[in-house]
Amino acid sequence: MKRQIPLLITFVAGLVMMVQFFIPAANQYGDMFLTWFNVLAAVAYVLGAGSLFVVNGKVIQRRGRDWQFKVVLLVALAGTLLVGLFWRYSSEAGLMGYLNPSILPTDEGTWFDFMFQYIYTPLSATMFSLLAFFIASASFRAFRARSIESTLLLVTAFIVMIFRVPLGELIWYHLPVLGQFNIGKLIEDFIMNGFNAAGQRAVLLGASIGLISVSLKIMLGIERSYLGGD
Amino acid sequence: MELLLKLSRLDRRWIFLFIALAVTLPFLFPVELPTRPSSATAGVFNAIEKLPENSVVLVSFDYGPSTAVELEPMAHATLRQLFAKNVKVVAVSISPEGAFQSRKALNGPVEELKRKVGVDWVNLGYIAGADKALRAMGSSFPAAFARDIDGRALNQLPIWKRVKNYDSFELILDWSSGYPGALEYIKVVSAGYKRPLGVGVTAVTVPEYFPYLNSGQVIGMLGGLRGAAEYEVLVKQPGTAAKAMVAQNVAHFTIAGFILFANIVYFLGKRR
Amino acid sequence: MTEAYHSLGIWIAAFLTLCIFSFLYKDNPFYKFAEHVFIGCSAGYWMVLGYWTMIKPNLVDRLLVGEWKYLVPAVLGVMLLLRLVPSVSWVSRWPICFMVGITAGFQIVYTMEAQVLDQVNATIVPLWGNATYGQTLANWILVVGVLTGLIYFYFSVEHKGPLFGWTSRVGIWVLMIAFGAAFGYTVMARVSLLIGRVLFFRDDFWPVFLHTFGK
Repeated sequence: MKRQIPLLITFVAGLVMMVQFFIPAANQYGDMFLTWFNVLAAVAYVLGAGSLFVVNGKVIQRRGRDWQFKVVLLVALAGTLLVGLFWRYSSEAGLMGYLNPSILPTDEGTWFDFMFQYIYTPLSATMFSLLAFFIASASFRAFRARSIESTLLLVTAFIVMIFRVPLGELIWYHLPVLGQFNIGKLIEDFIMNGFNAAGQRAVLLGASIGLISVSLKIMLGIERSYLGGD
Repeated sequence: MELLLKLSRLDRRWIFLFIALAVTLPFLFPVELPTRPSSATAGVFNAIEKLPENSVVLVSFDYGPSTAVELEPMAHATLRQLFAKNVKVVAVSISPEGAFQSRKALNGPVEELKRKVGVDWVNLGYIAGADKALRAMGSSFPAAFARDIDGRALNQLPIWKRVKNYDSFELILDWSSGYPGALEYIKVVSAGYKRPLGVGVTAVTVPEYFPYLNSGQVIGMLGGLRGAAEYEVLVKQPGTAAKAMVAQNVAHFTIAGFILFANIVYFLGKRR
Repeated sequence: MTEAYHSLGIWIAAFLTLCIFSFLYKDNPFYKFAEHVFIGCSAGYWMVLGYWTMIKPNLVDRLLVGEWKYLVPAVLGVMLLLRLVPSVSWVSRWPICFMVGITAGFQIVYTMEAQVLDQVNATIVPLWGNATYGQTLANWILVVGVLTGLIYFYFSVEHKGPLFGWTSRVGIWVLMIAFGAAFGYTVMARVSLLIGRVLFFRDDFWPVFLHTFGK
């Protein structure tokens, strides 16, 4: 019961999704299942937030490491949920937002919009921008031409980094003999559309066939690791 | 040699400082250099240029604030070109963050070229489900959407009378930074519904999309800030991307210089 | 948003940005503060969006108009949340299996079409008789590159001898060139992200800074 019914659910759900491409009458069931999927995906976010409360709450309770920052995390989470789910006041609608159901707490001019623009956006962008520093430092420390393979990787990276920016192109076009060739076209035709496309395509084909075989194994109940223990 | 070895073991914070200076200082002494458009970028430009007046294009905004620096300039440049040609634009997002970005991207071109909402353009906002949402849209746009992002009833808008499914669009464009985004459009819209698709992606995913460009599943591709700068050259309206390339030049040469230096020291050390 | 809110927002954004950048010197309480604010806001943001874009239109609104078949996802949703209760967490398997099954079935068809059949089709290109020598060379690189790359990934046979040994060697060289191109573009992407933050300070923060201090 604990395993047989879930496996049957997996099989039926997957079968309906496949069959709807071939039998138009099954489309309505496919669309219905997709709507249910969207609802469950949203509930998974609730589960994620719930897990955050539970895990961080435990750290705060036992005064674990950095517990003060866990308080900050939960305050930020609770604050975002409060303004995003209930706070309908906006600079445009004012307090009328509470009386008009078509005005959402996530509209322009609300406190949720403020949070998104001035807290979430800069934090998200800055977190990702740190990668520029780390890629420079990591490549300085580790990127060495120790073998043929790493030399090929390094030389290609070099060519793309230098000659895909305007300054590199300008230098190229002033080189004797080589400067007569269009470096952008050479890189695009032979490196990107040639070796890169070939390599990426080989990876893509392998990964796609692997994905299809794993999906079939899941549907047929051969692969059961997603069920967990017991 | 000892000095070189010492430099090759530099504290990473010095490297961080060099990178920070390499990205910041060029803006104090900007020198704009010519950017030559690639054929991947020209693919999107030419597809838009060939669009007849009054045709309808679907533009999907599937990027978040962290990648807006690369993708928003592309969106601006293409929207200006579309509006200047009197092409109608239907905006949508299959990524939740994209709906917020779509407002920012549309504001500028709409105001500059005085385009009317509901007549020349409409923003449908976010639709949940990624590739499944694309399939729902392919069956019927009116069934998938009742209101636009600002709550207007779509059946009251003139532009909506022309939108039924993907066949209603002469071209589909997607600005994407990851999942869900360009790959879902390729799988569902290009491969499934056989509609012409142009994409704009972040530079980190450009190599991954070349197989799709090579196979014709996408008709053109704008890649990162460079792609946006190339597009600004093609539409003859230098914007944020063209100005930002000045810092990109110096940063690339700085990083390449570090790698070259480290390898020279490595080989000199090996010979010793 | 009024100008006062905008100015306040820009100051907050600049402060948080500098908190994150402070990590480059070393880990510190300001960075930890900003990091935890980001995690909290991020989780809350996705939950809020999930509610307004998925749960409310597809569940709440439909149940309110009497579409009782949507009780099924409501029940499945509650079962999913029971994952938080260790004694009955096994109940969450049903909705998880439903989601896994949907994804598996959906992916099989689209992946096969877009990422296998179309890609194989695009690799079948003429190896001579093209309009230019450049096109012929590019086609040879493509076909040989894809085949040798695939042979490299075939681990059921030992990579020895002239057939598998040499071809898999060529395959890894092709892959290394592809990864080198990927690295070059990755550097471009990461630098662009940093440029974005510099532009924020130049175009957004600097005018607000001058305005705040009376210029």
